[in-house]
Amino acid sequence: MTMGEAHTMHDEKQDLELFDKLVAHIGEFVERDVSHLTPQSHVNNSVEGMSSLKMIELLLYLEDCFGVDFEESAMDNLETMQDLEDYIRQTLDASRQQA
Amino acid sequence: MGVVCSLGADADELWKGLIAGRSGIGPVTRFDPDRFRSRHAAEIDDTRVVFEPGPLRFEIRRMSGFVRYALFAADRALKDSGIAEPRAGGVYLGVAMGGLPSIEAGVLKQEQEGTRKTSPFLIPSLIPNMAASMIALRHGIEGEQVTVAGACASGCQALGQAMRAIRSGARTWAVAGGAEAVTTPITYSGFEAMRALSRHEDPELTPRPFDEQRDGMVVGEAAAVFVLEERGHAEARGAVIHGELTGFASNSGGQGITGLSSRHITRCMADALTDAALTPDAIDCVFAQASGMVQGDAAELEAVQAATADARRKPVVTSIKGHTGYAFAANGPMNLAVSLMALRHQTVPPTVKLDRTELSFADVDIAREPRGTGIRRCLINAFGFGGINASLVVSRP
Repeated sequence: MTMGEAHTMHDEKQDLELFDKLVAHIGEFVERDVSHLTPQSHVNNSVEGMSSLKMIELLLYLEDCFGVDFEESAMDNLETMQDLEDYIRQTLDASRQQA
Repeated sequence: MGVVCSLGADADELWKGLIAGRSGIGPVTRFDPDRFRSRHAAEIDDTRVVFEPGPLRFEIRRMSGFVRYALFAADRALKDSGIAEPRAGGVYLGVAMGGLPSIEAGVLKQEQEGTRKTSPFLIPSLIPNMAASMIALRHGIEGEQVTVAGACASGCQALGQAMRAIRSGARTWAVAGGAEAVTTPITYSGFEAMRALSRHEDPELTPRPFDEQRDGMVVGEAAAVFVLEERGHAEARGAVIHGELTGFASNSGGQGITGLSSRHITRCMADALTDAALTPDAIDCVFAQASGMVQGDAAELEAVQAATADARRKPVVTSIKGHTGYAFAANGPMNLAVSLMALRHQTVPPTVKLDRTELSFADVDIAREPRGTGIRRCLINAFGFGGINASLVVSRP
């Protein structure tokens, strides 16, 4: 195994952990099982009973869970689970680098 | 009917508490009241407010207290009624101050955490109509939806409006009542500034409706909601009928913007009796507004004296505020719930914490102990700031 391969595996593991955390927090928020969610799932359509207000509240909840702020301009583009995961990961990475 | 208050989460619990002389008044727990001279409230035990499965459970948890309590009471009332087809009904609900606690919490949150942390549910949770709206939405009621904001007469007025809608033929049935839950610092600072809150240290001694030592009200939380139904419709489907609303009146007139006017209250009670085609002799019990405030209680007793001056039989008068606190818009509906229980049990509940009234009211028969007596009809009073007066007449079924 090369150093590059090991680094990629480490990244994939972290991504998977982040995705699992995201699913768990969404499940806590809506108080139902959302284990069916995949990276391609649209949050609005894939979580039963979701509404525009719930979506905003969910983002506020995720901000507290992950210690990130969702830029208002970015909120409208956060459609899929992958979008959410990417945004959170990038924001966390940026803040780590700043630190 | 559905009831939730500091004495319990249904009408039977409320009734047992009243007859036992139990007080639901205790230290404020919803915030630290140390900065105020009044530190008591009649709070609802939220562990009792549990919703059965159904629509909007997520939203319910984000609603201000008055919405949750109204919905809880409405769920119970609708279940109790056995109404099977909800679409044709209406909703008439009285709310005075609505989501004051949510407003206060929202302001604090945005000051402490910034405006972008404000919940998108803030506004829906606090607007006064949301109690009626959530009842309609959760139960699929598609008829008229009315929210009455008539201060502490709101609930009584809502019941009256529903009764009139049914009488007119516009509705066959309706959910009606009132709810209030404003145990929050701004309520205490506002009412304390008006010298309207009791300053007694001992919750067992306050509030004291009709007592010459009364010194103000104690904030209470409550919701009482009923299914009102056209009599023939209720009988045809074999519904349990708890009582019959036969009279309603409401008028304007106060002493300044917050005081009660005995003259206008007298007329309001008389008009309610006229609406029910009754004379004052026909009333066995008056469920008074009596909050423990000096001017208001005196004005109401003067009005009772005037309204029944020519009656051969004088009614027994009682107030439940010493047990349940002052529940603002829910005052009238709470009085209706207790009236229905009094009609069922043929007993007038006591006015607790009453030692002695002023001499000028010595001729008014105030129940100090539970009193078993023949009760056919009750008069219910509720009055609000701004000179809003409302009275209902309820009779045995």
